[in-house]
Amino acid sequence: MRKIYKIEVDCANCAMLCEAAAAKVEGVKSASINFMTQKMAVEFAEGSNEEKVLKAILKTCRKIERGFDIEL
Amino acid sequence: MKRKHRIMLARITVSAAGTLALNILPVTGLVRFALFSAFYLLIGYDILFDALRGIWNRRFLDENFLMAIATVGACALAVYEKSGDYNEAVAVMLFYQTGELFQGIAVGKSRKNIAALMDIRPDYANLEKNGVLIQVDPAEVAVGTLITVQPGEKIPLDGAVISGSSSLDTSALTGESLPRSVREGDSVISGCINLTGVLVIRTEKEFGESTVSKILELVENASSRKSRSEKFISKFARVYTPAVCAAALALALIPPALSLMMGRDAGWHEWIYRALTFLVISCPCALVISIPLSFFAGIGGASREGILIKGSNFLEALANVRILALDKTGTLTRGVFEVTEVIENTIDREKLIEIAAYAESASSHPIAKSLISAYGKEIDRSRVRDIEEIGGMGIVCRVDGVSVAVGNRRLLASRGVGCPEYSGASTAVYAEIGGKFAGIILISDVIKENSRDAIASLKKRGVKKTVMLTGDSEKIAEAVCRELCIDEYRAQLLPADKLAEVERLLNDKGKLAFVGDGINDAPVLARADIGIAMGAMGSDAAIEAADVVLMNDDPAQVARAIKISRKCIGIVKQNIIFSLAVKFSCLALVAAGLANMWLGIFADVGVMVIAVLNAIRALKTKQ
Repeated sequence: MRKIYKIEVDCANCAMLCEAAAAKVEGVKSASINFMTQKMAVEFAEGSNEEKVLKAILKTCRKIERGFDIEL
Repeated sequence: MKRKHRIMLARITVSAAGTLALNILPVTGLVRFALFSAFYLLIGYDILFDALRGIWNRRFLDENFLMAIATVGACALAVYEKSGDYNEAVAVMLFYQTGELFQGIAVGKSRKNIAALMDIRPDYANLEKNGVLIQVDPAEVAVGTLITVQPGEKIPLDGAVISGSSSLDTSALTGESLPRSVREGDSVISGCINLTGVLVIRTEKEFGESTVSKILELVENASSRKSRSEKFISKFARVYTPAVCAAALALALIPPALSLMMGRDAGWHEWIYRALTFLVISCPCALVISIPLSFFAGIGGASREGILIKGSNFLEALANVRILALDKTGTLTRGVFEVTEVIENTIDREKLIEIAAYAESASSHPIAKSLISAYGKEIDRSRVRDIEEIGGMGIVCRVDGVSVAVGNRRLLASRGVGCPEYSGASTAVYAEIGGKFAGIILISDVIKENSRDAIASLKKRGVKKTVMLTGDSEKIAEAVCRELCIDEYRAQLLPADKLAEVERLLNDKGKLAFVGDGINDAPVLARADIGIAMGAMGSDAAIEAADVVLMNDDPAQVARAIKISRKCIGIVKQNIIFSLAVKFSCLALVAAGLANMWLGIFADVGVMVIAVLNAIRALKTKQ
């Protein structure tokens, strides 16, 4: 299932790193972050709990950039 | 300005003022150190905090950590040397934060500007209730509802005109300045501005599915498809920062070690200072920000011209188009048959057309339609009698009591009427009136006015080969190509043949673009490097299948699209070369001891500011 979220990320470099980190989170099939439009597209793996996965993505990306946020 | 930006600006101002004051006022020793530290912390506390968090999370090579080391190191050096010159440490932090602030504001503003440019989205729809118009959210209007659009308002949803007639300004979608007239029965699409008359429209699509929403979504998502340049920058950034940091470490350790080995003074201060400056230059920000911004601006600017590019990678590819394959009917020609000439006529031209139109008045064949529209006046059906349609040949009837035969040469031959032969490129309609040959009416698919200039400008833009693909006959293809100066043609093609031809034309050197009207060309559009669908206003299938969608029917838009993409790629290349050149030369200068931290700051922040400003240029697409 593919969903698009509005996100807040301040620096383009961080966006790049967050994209790579998010893709490695368990339950994520693929992730892409568009810095210019401040949107993140996540393709969830089969049978994964979306809410949990999103929380994990948020946690990982917050380690990269403190101000990272996902609008749920 | 957003709140967090405002806070940052305040911090910068106070810090800068404070530092300046400390330089003028005669304060020394511990007090000086304390005050400087205060201002330093004011401006840099979040960086230091993030640096510590970074170490905790094992992220050593992020900017925060590097900035922290660079500035703390500079402070330590100042203390060690008892120079009391803490300026550089604070200055580095100050300029770094200023640069980040600028970046945040500039990117935020660009986003807003680009979004506003593309703000073709209508805000409300008018529903009539008990004779009064009330405004509702267009997203809440169901399919099949009647909405009213008054002059000056934007059409909020796709639909069909139930009553009223008007002219529409389609420039927001197509970039075309000529208004389009509509009346009862015509389809209209959302986003157009109603100019003159009140229209009542029955909606055919929901707001989310209407053209305007689809276009906005398309353009927004376009920047998600990364171009090769962007992918390169990502890879580069991942390598550059660690490399420069390693170099900094080497710079801090090796030369002093060598000096010591040679029995000379180590000169730690000197080399550590240079290493710290290296760290300042190690941030690839300028590139990472400005390249995506350029593409975003380029795509946004193009969409205002009615050119929808579905990905940054396609924008990049457009700049490299060398071969252009074009569909004929509907792309280079209007796709509508029209009477172009009357030859060998023994009676008056107007009369001949009139009689032919009457003869064909009962037929719905495209040829019949063109004759009827060429005649232009109302057909009085009572004047035509005994209409007989002979398959494959034409029509025989009586007009005003006189026997008339209109059709191909075989029809007249079968009636024993001799006539001159026509061997040109148009479709010929022979007419016989009262048993005698009366003339030949030539009907062809008219070439669009702009096609010739379009091909000429495409050639000027570096398209080396133009090829026309058509299902029509060789004669017609050859004539059209000669008139438009197209290099080659392939005629008599079945749809599957078109695909094969395009595959044959694909080449390593340069990209192949295919331009078609999208309706039946999906596989070909997919196979070409760049599939361009033209005249796609409202056509869902075309918007789906193509990589680039031209919203109006003008072939000159292809040339314009290439021009826009070249400008954008040009800006991208400028930024890459400029940023890399400045960074590497600054690194060299610092290593050689010819520069100080101020130059380092310029190489980082200054370059970024310049790159972002340059990137915004990609927005200006009007010629």
